[in-house]
Amino acid sequence: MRLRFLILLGLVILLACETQSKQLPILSYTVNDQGVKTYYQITFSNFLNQHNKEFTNPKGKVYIANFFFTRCPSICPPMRYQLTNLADNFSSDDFMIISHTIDPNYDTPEVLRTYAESTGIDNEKWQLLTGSEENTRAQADQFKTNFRPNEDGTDFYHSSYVALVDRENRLRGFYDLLVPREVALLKTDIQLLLN
Amino acid sequence: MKLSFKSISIFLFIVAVGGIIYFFNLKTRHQELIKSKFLYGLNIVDSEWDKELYENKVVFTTPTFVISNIYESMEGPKSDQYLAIDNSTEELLWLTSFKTEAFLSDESTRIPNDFVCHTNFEYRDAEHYNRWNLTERINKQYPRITSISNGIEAFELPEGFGFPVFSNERIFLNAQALNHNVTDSIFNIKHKIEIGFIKHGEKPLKALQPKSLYMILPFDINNPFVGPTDKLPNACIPVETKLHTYYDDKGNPLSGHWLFSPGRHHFSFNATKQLSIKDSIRLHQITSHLHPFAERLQLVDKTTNTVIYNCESENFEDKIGLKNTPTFTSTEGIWLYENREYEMMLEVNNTTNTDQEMMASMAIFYNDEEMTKKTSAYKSIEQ
Repeated sequence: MRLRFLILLGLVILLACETQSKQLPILSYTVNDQGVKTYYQITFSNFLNQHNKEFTNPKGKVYIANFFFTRCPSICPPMRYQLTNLADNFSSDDFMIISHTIDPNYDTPEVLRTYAESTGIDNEKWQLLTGSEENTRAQADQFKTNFRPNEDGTDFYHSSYVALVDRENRLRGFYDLLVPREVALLKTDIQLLLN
Repeated sequence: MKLSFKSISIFLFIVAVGGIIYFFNLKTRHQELIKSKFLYGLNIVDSEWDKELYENKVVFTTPTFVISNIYESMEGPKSDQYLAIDNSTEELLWLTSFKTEAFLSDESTRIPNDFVCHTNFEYRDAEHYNRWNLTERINKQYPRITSISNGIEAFELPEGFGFPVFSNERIFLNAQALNHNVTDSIFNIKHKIEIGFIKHGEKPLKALQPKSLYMILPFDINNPFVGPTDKLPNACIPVETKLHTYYDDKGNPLSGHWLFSPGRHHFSFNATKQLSIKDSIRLHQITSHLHPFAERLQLVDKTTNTVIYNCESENFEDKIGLKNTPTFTSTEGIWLYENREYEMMLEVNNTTNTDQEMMASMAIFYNDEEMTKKTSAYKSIEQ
């Protein structure tokens, strides 16, 4: 009797979690010229992290991903503040942050490690990745964002958005880290996926 | 012990008196933020948004707004929320109409729309455009679908046109209360915000792209409240130097919310840059956002000296408020071109003895052929 009750309770909790996470749409899909949708999962290949180790696909983790470069003087510092704050807020091992550099020539794993250390965040929770420009562009396509050098060649344009990814490596939302109400929404949605 | 209790009481009394003095010295807008936080936090009034979904419309009901003061534009109780029309499905919908009505907090007693300052409808551009592989459109303009305000509490897009959203796509609603006239009572109200839609499966429509044009006028950042001077003859007096302040390419400040003295005044603003037309656009809808005492807002093609939209707003005679602000709606549309100059022209008449606040903007919709192509091809089937 007790076993039945526990199984039933487990099923109810699972169902509740699934219903909650369904509140967020799945956004990792493309629509071709014929209007047909194709869903995909985010993958990582040929990226090194700040420990000079190859980064492989996260398994069973909720994560947010963004694009940045360590010398960025404009939007990256306020984004870094918000990312640090998010890392502090979600201490669970089930949550991580993945930041891709768009300046791989300068942002070597060593530079990324120094940058990571300055955040004071556990290195495993915040993965800083570098790869070839071609790979990084393909990665930006997966995360539905883009970046480009500024016209004067001194800096890069890149987005202030982060993408939220669920435990099955599917995109579930995009949030502007420079807008406080979007950051609040991101926190709610991360919690929803973690639950 | 007695002394200690007395000291604490005196301390609390001083804190309470200090708090009250501080509160009443705040601007009305800030007082309302504190008041709402207090009332919602202690659950004294309803703080939740509600949703009723019907076959071809959704009605969102705001939390309770406690009306306890005179509120000019942007001063009243307000609430905002991210909301989806229907989380349980992913269906392509065409938004075709927008309406806001004021009710007492019983949600059934209709009251005049004098208590509606505005409802802003916004899309989240990254999610909206990424669903259609239109990533390059993100961050190009403020993602507002449209705005409803005092004097224009409902409008429909022209037949056959709409703004596409998915049923599970979150939009952002911002509602704020207004009260220009009632001073003798305190009462609770709500806004009911209705969005009409047509399901893509029933009838595919043509896509419209929204954009906001807003009149902004220069002011002297070092001496903002003196008004026009020899140095800045076209200057305005900003309501606030932080709120609604923009900067031009040279770093000069401009205000989108300004004060104007009793009597008639004319304001003009070159809107060519805000339109930022590439080649041409076809304009199908304009909804103006004006404040009381506005009499006429025009969009003028200065190159051909043609009036595109002539909005003659009607003011109440027995109270402060806009009775009617006509919209522009056209199925055929009007072409606007990249190589022409466009101007917003505003006429106001302040019939009171004191300064009043003004702003003037147009929520426009124009043809979006790229989106129409994508939505026409869209099938809800998956691979």
